[in-house]
Amino acid sequence: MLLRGVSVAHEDSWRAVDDGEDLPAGKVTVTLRRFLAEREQLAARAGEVGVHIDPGEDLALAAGHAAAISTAALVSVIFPAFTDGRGFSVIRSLRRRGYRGEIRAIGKLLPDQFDFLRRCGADSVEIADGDDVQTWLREARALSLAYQSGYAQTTARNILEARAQANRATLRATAITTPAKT
Amino acid sequence: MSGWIVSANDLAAGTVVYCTAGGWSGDIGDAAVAADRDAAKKLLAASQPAVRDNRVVGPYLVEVELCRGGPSPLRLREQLRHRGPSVAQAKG
Amino acid sequence: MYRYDEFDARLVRERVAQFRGQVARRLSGELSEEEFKPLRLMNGVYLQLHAYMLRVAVPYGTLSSRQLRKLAHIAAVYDKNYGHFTTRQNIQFNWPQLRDIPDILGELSEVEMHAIQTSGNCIRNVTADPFAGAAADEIEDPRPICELIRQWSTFHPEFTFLPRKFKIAVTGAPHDRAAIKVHDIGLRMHRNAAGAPGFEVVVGGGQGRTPMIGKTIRRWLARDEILAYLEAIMRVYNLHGRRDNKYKARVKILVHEIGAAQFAAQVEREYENSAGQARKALPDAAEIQRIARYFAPPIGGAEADGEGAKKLRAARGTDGDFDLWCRASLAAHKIPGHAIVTVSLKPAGGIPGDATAEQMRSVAGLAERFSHGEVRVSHEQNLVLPWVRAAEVHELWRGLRDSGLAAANAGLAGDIICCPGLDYCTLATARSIPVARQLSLQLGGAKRQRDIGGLSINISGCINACGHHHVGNIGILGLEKKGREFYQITLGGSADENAAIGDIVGPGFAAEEVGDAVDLVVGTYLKIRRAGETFIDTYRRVGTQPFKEALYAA
Repeated sequence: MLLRGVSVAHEDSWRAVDDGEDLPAGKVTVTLRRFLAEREQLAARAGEVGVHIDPGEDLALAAGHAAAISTAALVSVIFPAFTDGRGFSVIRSLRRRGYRGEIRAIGKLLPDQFDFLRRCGADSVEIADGDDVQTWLREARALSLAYQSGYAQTTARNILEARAQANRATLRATAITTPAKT
Repeated sequence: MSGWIVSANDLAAGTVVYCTAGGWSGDIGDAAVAADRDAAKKLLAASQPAVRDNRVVGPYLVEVELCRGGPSPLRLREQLRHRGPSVAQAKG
Repeated sequence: MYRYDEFDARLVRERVAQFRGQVARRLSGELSEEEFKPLRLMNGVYLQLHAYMLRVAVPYGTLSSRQLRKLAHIAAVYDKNYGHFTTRQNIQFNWPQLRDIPDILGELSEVEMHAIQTSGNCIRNVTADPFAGAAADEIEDPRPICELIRQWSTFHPEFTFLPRKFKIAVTGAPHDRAAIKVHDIGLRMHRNAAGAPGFEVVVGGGQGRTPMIGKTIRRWLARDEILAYLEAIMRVYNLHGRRDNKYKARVKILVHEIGAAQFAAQVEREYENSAGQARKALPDAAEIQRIARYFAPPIGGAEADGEGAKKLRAARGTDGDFDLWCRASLAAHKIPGHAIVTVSLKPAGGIPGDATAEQMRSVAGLAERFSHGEVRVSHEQNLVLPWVRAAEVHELWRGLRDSGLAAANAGLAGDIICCPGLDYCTLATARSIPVARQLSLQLGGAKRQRDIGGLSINISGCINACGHHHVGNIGILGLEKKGREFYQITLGGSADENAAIGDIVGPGFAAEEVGDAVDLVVGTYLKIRRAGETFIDTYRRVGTQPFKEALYAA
């Protein structure tokens, strides 16, 4: 099942295609290797090609081809285990370099990681079939605040901004209650 | 004579417990004893429902010596688990 | 001291509620142990030999009397009336029940405390010089930076599932009391040529089975660049740290394998790429000032007339026991007329780092009377009162003595660092507390220890080195061989600015031989030392040979 934002995405038109398999019509995601090797043929399907990045294999390759990757309409970042947090930095780095397409987190993930994924820059998360969607949606909102700024805004509000706002409110209140000097 | 017993920690309390004929006990004297490796395997298998029922965590086999007072673990680690820390905390 | 604002407080409360839900899901069976384990670890909950263990964060080792009283309350109500202060300036409770832990965390949140990130493969509680803000040799109080790091690293969206745990230590003084060179990142404040304070950045130190001294990757970094630079280090580590082998996953291995220069180059490249954006995202000057204000010294200024110092000298002149204690326990203060007082948690025959609920309450009360309600925890597992007037040291000492807290051994041989070992810990291979206890008894009283001079004895019950044995002048590592405990001795380790990993002197010793072995080492040093030399000075001059001969002569 796919979650987009903090709700269930009922439609997903992307299809993952293995290396060597013929490309069907419509939106497809391919491995980074194939994406780079068949770049010219794939260019014709602009907007309908996505790429998988597997941090276990692709880090060096991805670093060398950032510009090519930025042309993909979708980047699926693979998490081989929930303890393997490389994907968070991969997602964050894509956004930092200005990638504007969809980023999807796939693989083994925990509901408790949902908000972190979104803050790093993921738009959608594929969750396991047996997972309880309600748990995922609840955990996304478990913490209403975050200390780090510069990461994507989610339901968690940035504490530094909240503080600045509270300070302004205090100042306004002080300005109202403090009699002007004459 | 030596044998095997099964020990685990109580899920909610964390305390050391031993698998008995009918359940779990904090008293090693109550532990069900397996005389050989086959019986030990069976005893360990028999403790698994308590894991699924969320009663205990991580049951495993403990090799013991059978004394008059009951089973006594062979390894120091298990002796300490059974008797508690060898260093008493000074009373405050 | 830093105080939570409404936002800090709300985040911790939400975390307690979240964990309460997770515990309920575990107890009901909705979560399996396998699923629950990483969640409980992120909240400092371990399952140890006898029971659960809860590790509570003491950020950069700073506690208020109110917080210490709460810890005492938790020890008395939910535990067996004591707690254990650790080498990471935290406190551990050895006997809480899982079903009570949400309530314990709720109580902690009332005094601005938590157990967030005290375990797990994330950025752990940041540690600091226990004398921070008060030490005479300090350039600046490092704790505002520590608090910034604490906030920045809390629930970091990118760096919470690292290859392995990650520890950061900070010192604002040239004399390193925070062991920064054996941390994943160590930050040492110093001034650049223009006189501006900044940090030397040391990376890849650590203990465990592969002990290493950290390497400097930046000589000087401006204070306001710290978070952006840390982010660059963390990203390089998160992407490239090894994940194929748990024992090779710490950043020290990455730094070692690719070399410090290469690691530094990668960090600098990452920093350059992201510096603009990352810096923009940092707290602004107003926020940094807001945090810094909390750490202003609570004492007005110097005592101009020197009356306090005179009074202290007079008391020391007439009371020999007090004088011995002063020689071990007092450190020079930034503000004349004041002293930094170390409260040793190492009574002869006791358990290093343990304090009973009553002792915690006593220290809380004494801190209120004599130290502006502020207490520190040191990585040597002692407590520190940082703001004591010289005139009141004698009275403080009498109060400590009444609570059994006046051991005159801080910094001396009896000030043993010791992990819980096989008496409590599932990872341990041998006991460490009984060894510490025996050594503390045989090393003799304050006079003899004063004669031996500065000497650190550190004991770990396994290769993970929580007892810092690698950096003890005398290190003792407990291992198991054929079902029996035996102990390997290392010499020459040091945790300060001249950090060194100790050398193994030879084959290990049976439990009953360790005491004699340490006696031989100390005896050898006393025989060959030159005037003014401490143990480590002598060792550095002569090497292992004389000690080897003494230990293995027979």
